[in-house]
Amino acid sequence: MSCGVPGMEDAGCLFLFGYNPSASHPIVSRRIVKAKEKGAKIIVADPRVIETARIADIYLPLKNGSNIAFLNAFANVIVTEGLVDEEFVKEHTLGFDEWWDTIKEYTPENTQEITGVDPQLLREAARMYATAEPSSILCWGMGVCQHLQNVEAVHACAAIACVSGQIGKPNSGVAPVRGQNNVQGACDMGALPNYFPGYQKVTDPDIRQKFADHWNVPVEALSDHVGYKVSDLPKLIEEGKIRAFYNFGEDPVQTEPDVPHLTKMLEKLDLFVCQDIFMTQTAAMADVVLPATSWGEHEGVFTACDRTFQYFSQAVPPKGECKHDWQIFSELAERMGYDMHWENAQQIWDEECRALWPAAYGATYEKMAGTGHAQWPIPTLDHPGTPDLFLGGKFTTPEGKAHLVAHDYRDPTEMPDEEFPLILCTVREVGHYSCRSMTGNCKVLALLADEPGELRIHPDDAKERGIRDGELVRAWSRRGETMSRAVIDERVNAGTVYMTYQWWIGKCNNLTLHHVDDRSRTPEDKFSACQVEALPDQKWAERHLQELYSQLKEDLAETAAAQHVEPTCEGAE
Amino acid sequence: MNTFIAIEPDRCIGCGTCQAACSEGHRKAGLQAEPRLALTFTPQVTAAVTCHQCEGAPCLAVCPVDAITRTDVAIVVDEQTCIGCKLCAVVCPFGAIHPSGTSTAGVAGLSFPTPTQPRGVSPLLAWSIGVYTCAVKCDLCSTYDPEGGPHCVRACPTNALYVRDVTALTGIRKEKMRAAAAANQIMMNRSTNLRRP
Amino acid sequence: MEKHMAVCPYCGAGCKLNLLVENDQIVGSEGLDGLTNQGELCLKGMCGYDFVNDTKILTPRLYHPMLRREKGGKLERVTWDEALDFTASKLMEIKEKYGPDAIMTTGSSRGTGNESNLAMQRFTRACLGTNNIDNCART
Repeated sequence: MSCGVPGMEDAGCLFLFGYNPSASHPIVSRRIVKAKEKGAKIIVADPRVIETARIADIYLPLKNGSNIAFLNAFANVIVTEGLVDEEFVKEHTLGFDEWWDTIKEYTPENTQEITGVDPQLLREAARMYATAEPSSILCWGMGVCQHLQNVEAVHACAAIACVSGQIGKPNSGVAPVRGQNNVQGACDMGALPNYFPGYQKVTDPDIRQKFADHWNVPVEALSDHVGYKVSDLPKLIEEGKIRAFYNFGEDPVQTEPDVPHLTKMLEKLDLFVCQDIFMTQTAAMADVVLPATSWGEHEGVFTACDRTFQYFSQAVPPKGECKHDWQIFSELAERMGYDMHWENAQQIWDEECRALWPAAYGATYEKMAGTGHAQWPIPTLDHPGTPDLFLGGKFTTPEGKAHLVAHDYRDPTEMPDEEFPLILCTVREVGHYSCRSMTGNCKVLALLADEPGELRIHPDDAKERGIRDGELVRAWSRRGETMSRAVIDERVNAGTVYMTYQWWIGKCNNLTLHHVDDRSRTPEDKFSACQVEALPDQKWAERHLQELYSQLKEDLAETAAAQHVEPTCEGAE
Repeated sequence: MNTFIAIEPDRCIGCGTCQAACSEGHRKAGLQAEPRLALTFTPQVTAAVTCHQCEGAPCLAVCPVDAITRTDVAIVVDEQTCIGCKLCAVVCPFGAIHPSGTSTAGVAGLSFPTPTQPRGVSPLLAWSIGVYTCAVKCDLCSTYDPEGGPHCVRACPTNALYVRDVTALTGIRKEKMRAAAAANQIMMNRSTNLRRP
Repeated sequence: MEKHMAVCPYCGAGCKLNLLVENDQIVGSEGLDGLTNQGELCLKGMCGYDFVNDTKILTPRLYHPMLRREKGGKLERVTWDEALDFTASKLMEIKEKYGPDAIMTTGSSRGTGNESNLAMQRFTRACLGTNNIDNCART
C-alpha cells in the first residue's frame, strides 16, 4: 500500500476495484465508512453488490474477468476528457506515448460488450476519481490478482494513479490490501524465491556477498538464481524437479487450486515435512510432522497490510513438546552442519532483519512496545516511519520515475460453455480465515458458520436448476466436485456462483482451475467454469454431509492421537 | 417505556461482530449460544434485526407457561421454563424470536448430528434427534451483564448499533420536531435571519 | 486475570488486542487502542482466540513430533531427536543426490511472525543452498 490504513479516511475519493473489505478486512472497512461520513466519494467496481457498493456514490457492476478492458477504458476517459495531470506525467513518469498507443483503442463505449458497464457511468466514475480533492486511493484485492491478467491489471491501476496525479501525495495512490495478518511480513522477510529480506535481489552479486558474509557462508554457497514458486509445486513434483517439500505453517491441500491433482503429487515426494500447530489435512499426509508453538505461545513481530511492524507478546506457555518455529530451523541446521543460533526472537529481529535491511533499521522492539508501531521505510532510530510512499513523485525505479505500461485485453482461460455454463469465483468468509484450522477451532466462530459453507447463486440461475434457498447442492467442474449449501442472493450477478475457500467438505478448490500467469504465478481462482445441481434427496444429503464431516474430523483426530502414544525404547534415546 | 436496539444501515458492513458478541456473552453465562440478532441482507440494505421489546409484546401474551416475563429493562425468556412450543416465534412481528437447542452430538453414542429434514424447512418446524429447544430472544444482555449494556452495541466496529432508550428517543424526537418546524418555514416561504445552515 | 498484548492473527489490518489469560488458558480478548483499530475488533479478533486452548472442535493441536517410517505407513510419535535427525539426514541425502534445487520450503504468512520467516529463509538459502522458498501470498 502506498498509503496507511488510518489515512484512508482522509482521502477525497476511494475507488474499490475487486476488493470486498467488509468480508476480508472489517476493520479497514470501518475506515471506509468513516471516510464516507467525512465526505469522501466512494466508487465500487465489482460484479457483486458488495457491502460497500450500498454506500457508494457510483457502483459499476462489471462482468467477471473484464478487468483490463474496464481499466483501459477508465484510463482512456482520463486522457480524452483532459483529466491528465500533465506536470506529474512529465516530471515523474516514463513511456506515456507507448502507453497511450494501447489505451487509445479502449473507450467506455467499445468495451461495453466486454465489461457490461454503462459507458456514461464509467465516464462519471473516471471524472470523480481523477478530480477528487485532496486525493484518491485506488484499492484492490484478490479481485485483481487472481485473474489471468493480474500483473497487467496492477500495471493498469498504477498507471491510472500516475496519469491522474493521484499518487505521490499524502493519503493517495494504490492500496493493494494484503490478506493474511503477516503476508506482508513473510514477503518483507524474504520468504520469496527472488528476494532476500527487504526485497534485496538474490540475483545481485553485491547483495549475495553481503548476506554470505553475515551468514558465515562462502558466497558460492548461496544460489544465484531465482527459485521456484509454490504455486508451481504440483508441476515441479510431476516433472521430478522437486523431491522434498518442507511445508511450514501453510495448508496447501485446502488453499491451493485443483486440490485433487495436488494431493496426488504430494504423495510422490521423497520427503514431505510439515511444521504446524494443527493436524491439518496437509499435515496428515506428511512424512514428518513437527509441532510448533501457536500464536499466543510465542512473541514476535507482524507486518500489517500497510507496512506497519507491530510487536506481539507471549500470553500462555507452549503445549506439550512444541518448540518455536525458529528453534526448530536452528536445531535442524545444526544437524546439517550449519551454525545458526539465536537466544530469542528479538535477537533474530535485530541481527537478521534490522542489520541487513536498511529501511527497517529504526524498527526496534522498544519502539514497538505496548501499542507502539514502526511503519517501514524507517531507516534511523529517530525516524517516525513512513505512512505514505512516493511523496513528491519519487519512485523506486532506477530512474526514479514510474513506468507506464499498458496491455491488451484477453479472455479468461476457461470460458463457460454448454457443459459448464457457470463461472465459479472464490471469495472470502468474514467469520473464518484462510484454511480455517484456527477459526474452525473457535467455539463462537464455528457456531456462526460451519460446513459445508455457502454457494451464492442468483435467483434466475437457481430457478433454472430448481434449487431452493438453503438446499444442499452438488457443484462440479473439469477438476472435481464438491457439496455446498445454496444461498439465493440477489446481490450476485447471474451466470456466476460464489464460494468461500474455507470449507473442508464444501471445498471449492476441488473445482478451481490451476492456471497461473507467467509472471507472478498466481492462480486464476476468480474464474473457473463449473455447473451446479440440486441434490434430489435433501434429507439424505443433510445426513450425508454430517457423515462426511464427522468422518473427516475423526480421521484427523485419529491421526493426531498417535502423538499421545509414548515412543518405544527403540526410538527414544 | 421500552428500550431497544436500533441500527444505522449505512454504517453496517454485515460483518457479524454483533452476532459473535451476543453469542459469546450468552454462552459464557451458560445460556444458549445462538445469536439473538439476525443479519438481514436485501440488495439495498444490510441490517441486524432484533427484538424491539414491544410494549404490547405479543410473545409475552401467548406464552402458555409464563416463561416470558417483562423486567424493568427487557422482555426475557427463562430458558429452563420454556417448553419450546414456538408460539412466541410465530406471533413476533419482527421475526426476532427463534428456537435453539443444544446438540447432543458426541453424547451417549450419538457421534454426529442427525438432521431429520432439509435445512430449507422453517427453523420453527425443524427438529433434530435428541435436541430440546427453547426460545431465544434479545434480553439486552440484562439477564447476565446488566452493567455492561448490550454487548452487540459495544462490539460493533462501525458503531452502527444504538440503544434506543427513553433519553435517546426524547432527544431524537425533539430534533425531528425542530427539523419539521424549520422545513415548515421553508414551505411557507418565510425566512428569518435566525436560520442557521 | 492476566492481560497480554497481542496483534490479531487473522487479516492484514493489524489490530492490537489484549489476550485475557486465566490458569494458562486464553479466556477472552479485548481491543486495544492500536494504530489501525483504535480499540475496535471484528468478530475474529474478539472470538478467534480459543483455538490456542486446543478445543478439538475441528482438528486437534500438535503436541509431539511424529514420523511416518515408511510411505503408506502410519504417523507415530517420536522424540525430537529422532524427528530432526531423520529430517536432516533425508534433506542431506536429497541435496547430495539431486542438488539443492530439488528441495522446496515455505515461509508462513500466519501466526508465526517475522522472526521465524527470517530463520526459515536463512535455513533455506544458507544451509540448503536454494532460493526455493515461497509463501501463500498468491492464495
